[in-house]
Amino acid sequence: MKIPPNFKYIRTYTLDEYYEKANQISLPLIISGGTVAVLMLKNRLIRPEAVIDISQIPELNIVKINKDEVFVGANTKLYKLKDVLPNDSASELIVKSASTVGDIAIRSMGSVGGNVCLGDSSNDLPVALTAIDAQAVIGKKDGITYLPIKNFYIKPFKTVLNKGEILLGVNYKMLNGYRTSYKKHFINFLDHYVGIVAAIAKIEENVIKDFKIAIGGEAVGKPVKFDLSEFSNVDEIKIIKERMFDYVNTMHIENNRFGTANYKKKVLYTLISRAIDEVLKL
Amino acid sequence: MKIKLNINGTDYESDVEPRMLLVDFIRDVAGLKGTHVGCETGSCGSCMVLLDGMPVKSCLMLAVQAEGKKIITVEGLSGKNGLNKVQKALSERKALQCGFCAAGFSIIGTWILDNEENVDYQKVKEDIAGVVCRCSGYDQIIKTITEVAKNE
Amino acid sequence: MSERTEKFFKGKGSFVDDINFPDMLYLEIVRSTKAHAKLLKVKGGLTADALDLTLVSTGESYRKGKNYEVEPVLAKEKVLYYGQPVSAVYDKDKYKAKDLAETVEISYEELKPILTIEDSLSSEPIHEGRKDNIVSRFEVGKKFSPESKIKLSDELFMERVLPNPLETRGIVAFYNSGKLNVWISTQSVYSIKNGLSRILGLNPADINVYQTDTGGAFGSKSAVYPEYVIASYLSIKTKKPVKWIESREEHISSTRPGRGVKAQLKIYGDEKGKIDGIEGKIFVDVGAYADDLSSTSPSWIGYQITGPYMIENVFIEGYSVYTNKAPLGPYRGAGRPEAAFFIERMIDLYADHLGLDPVDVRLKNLPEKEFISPTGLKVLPSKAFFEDGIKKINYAELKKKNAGISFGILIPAVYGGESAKIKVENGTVKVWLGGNAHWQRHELFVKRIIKEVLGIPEDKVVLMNGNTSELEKGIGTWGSRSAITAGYALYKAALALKEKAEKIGLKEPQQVLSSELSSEYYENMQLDPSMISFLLTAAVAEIEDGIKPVIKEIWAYYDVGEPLSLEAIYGQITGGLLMGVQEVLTEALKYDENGKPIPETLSATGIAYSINAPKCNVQITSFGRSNTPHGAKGVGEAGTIGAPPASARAIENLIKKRVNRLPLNLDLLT
Repeated sequence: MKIPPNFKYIRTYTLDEYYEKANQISLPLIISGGTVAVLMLKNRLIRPEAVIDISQIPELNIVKINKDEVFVGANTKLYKLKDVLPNDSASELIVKSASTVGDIAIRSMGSVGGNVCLGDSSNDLPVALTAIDAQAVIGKKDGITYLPIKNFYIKPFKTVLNKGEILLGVNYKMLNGYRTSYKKHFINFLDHYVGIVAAIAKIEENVIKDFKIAIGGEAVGKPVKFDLSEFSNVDEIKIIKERMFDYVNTMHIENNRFGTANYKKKVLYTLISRAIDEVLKL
Repeated sequence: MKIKLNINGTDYESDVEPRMLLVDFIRDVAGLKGTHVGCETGSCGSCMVLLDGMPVKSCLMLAVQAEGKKIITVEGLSGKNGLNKVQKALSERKALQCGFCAAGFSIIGTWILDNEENVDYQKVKEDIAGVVCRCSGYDQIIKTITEVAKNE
Repeated sequence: MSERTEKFFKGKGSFVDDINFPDMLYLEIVRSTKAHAKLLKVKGGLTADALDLTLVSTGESYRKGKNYEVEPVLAKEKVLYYGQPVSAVYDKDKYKAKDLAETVEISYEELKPILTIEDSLSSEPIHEGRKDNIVSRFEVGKKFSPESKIKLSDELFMERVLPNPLETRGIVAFYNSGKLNVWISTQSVYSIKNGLSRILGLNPADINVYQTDTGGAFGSKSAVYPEYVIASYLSIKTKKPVKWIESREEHISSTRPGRGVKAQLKIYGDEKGKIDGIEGKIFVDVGAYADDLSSTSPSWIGYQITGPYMIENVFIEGYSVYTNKAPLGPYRGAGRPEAAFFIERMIDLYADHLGLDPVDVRLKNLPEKEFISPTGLKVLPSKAFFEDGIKKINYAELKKKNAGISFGILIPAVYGGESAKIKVENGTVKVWLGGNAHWQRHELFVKRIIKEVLGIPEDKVVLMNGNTSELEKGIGTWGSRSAITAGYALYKAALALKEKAEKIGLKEPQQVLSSELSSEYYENMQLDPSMISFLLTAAVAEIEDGIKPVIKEIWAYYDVGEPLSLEAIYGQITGGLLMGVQEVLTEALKYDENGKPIPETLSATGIAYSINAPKCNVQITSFGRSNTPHGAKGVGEAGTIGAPPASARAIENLIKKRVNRLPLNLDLLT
């Protein structure tokens, strides 16, 4: 049976407590929702000295709206996002993304922080957050730093977070009057996603004011962002798609259990094309 | 580590290792066998319980994470009047075959009834996606839950 | 309680993991992490060397007279598949048992793993003393020299598929007072009893096997696995109850998967659509060890390759071959879906070549009267059934949707017959069947039969779980056999009880119900053509966005003989259809280049979730009764036989590329 190894359990109620404990423990594992942490423990992929439960830290449990900036605390459960985020387009894209994670139970358990910090190419939020130029809000003992989400990831399952640091949440600017699209493809339900595409565009009378696409998923790895604002008119949709098609074609993609490089490229391009259709076409 | 969990309205206190999984606490400490282990990776929903009203997969939680919360297991859904609406319907319609998924569908079905509006076949089909039934092909389960929800 | 699943909704089931005893020990099996290696050192736990060989047969004695290697209880000297049991540890605390398992040290000298049928045929034997990896060779039919105008060949392949019941395997073994009591999730308490008796050298009279509530099986819970032997052995040694519950990961690596078959076939026919013959080779990948079932699988598949058709010439060479994978076992259908997939795909190839409607070609090749295939298979004429079915599913409309069609037969595994026991006590009729239900809702036909023969109302009848101490002799549930065989035995037992009752003046059902009568019946049975059911399946596919193949809708027009319980029948059919569809799309057990199973979770095996379910339109009919008093035919595996070829064809119709390998190669969509 899959049973975790032994570890100490520490519940921290404040950030200061967390910083203190995290620096004391030689090998800590942070747990918020725990869906992935507990699974990793069960698989004995990690043997932490202690599991530090941060689910009670108030700074991570809030959503703050300050003028047009939104801060979403890392402990915010994925299913709750539709209730706590404002009604702007950037938030809409995040909600669309979060509503597709796993199934209802996973969304009840999983947190924003967990989905952002794992570094799995199949995680949904990083792709949506990349498209809206969100920032990771990183806390450490001596202060807070902000880092664009796309710089948050080093390689699969590795983020920039060092020991003693914590993702407090994510920060992003609200966007008004944009159109959003979120598309993804999996072979098996509740298994990895081959491709994920998040798109957001502001169109005013056929003129493209702003247009960004982020892609992720197993075929991609770390989320990649495309700023397509250089295209000025929705009539250029064909050229935009060709540009994206060319990019996908040049990607180095491996043949593996999710498919051949050919198939995965077709998946990516198809998702991108559908997302472009959704945000550019009336 | 001493922990106290509230399951179906009753407090269960025990000295357990921090690594004890919630599903094992429910089954082995509280002695409630209705919740099952099917896949150990959160892929099948056999272990589903309600945690503060939301469905969670208890095989992917440490017992200690559930402290201070209200846990309802399949046993807690039926009251002194017997099975609840969803369970009664699933039982009468013979929607299940081997019965191993009874807890999973009881929990998600009850949640749908209490939380979803404008329920139709397609919505139920998507909402129950996290619970596996290997025997039945799902159709009768979806039909039954849809009908119960529509009659609410 | 008149509805069986009610207790599960109350949490009052009794599955094997719910069974606990004081002082119980939890067993953890330590398994090979290599697919093919010499065992240099195994330190810790119970190992093959430490097995008391007077107490455990590691297979040699059973091997006498067999031409295959039986799986040993624990690997000795070599491991031949990833996941093979190497050592066993135990503890009172199941968490500590897991910790203990990690302390076992195994060192290997890796050997090259043989992972495909092709490799198997061209590589050194993985078993010493053999000249190659061929376990068995069969010839089915008779060599023929075709003079047909049309000769078409193709190679077809069905990847291995795991049974993956929702409840994994498990056992609680308790040896005390000279008796081995076993509680087990199983398809046959008799298989378990006989197997444990033979392997442990125990007198069968000293073994009691009790079926716990069983959460599905689909073929995986009939064999006597090493873990069952180890649990029983440890109980004998420690005198304590020993529990072993399989983890899903273990199910994926070490429970017997099914399918894993390749066929190289040639179809011969004239230019008008009349098939002259079928010829070719069938290869079954039996994994690292074989048994009677897996080693004879090629001949069983060859036997039914002609399906419902009248094909005058058949010659099939069947081979079963060893590979470094888990031993093969039956998976819902067990040879029937394979045969159906092979013949149906070849007929489509033939029809396409001639530009004829595939349904017309099929109808054209059905016999007008009883037909004995060159393989020995006897089938009744079925043209009326299929013509009726084509109308009932509105084929004319389905054609416009590019539907794929399959014709099929279901041959129930009636050999061995079955037993049944009825005991009336305290106003309740208790029934035990040799073929215990493990998901199929046998209680529904049991109640029907008791009501029909004894007039006793359904809510007074309870079907008990399998139990060797209540019903001493029996066979088990697999191969769509129970309605026919267990139903037959129950019918006879009920008649016998009725006779007993009348002899002592109890004529009314109410009087019988107040009595303390019992009766038991066992009879062997032979397959009769009237027991074979006919299956018409149609599927419509869609390639969503050009990247996601789905089966949108399925039609099944199935012959079930006399329907004993509509609910049970519909449930069996829809469940089987979904399994059949899924093994075309995504469900498969694949291995990496080291022989390690690729899926790490249940979802990664590709099983169907609710969102994968197509719309099912099921119509049943009785195309003749089986020659039993109740007239029922088998139905359990029907969906898994009919759905794969229909689904493969439906996709083929859309992508205009040949689909001859399962699961679907997604590259065909590019």
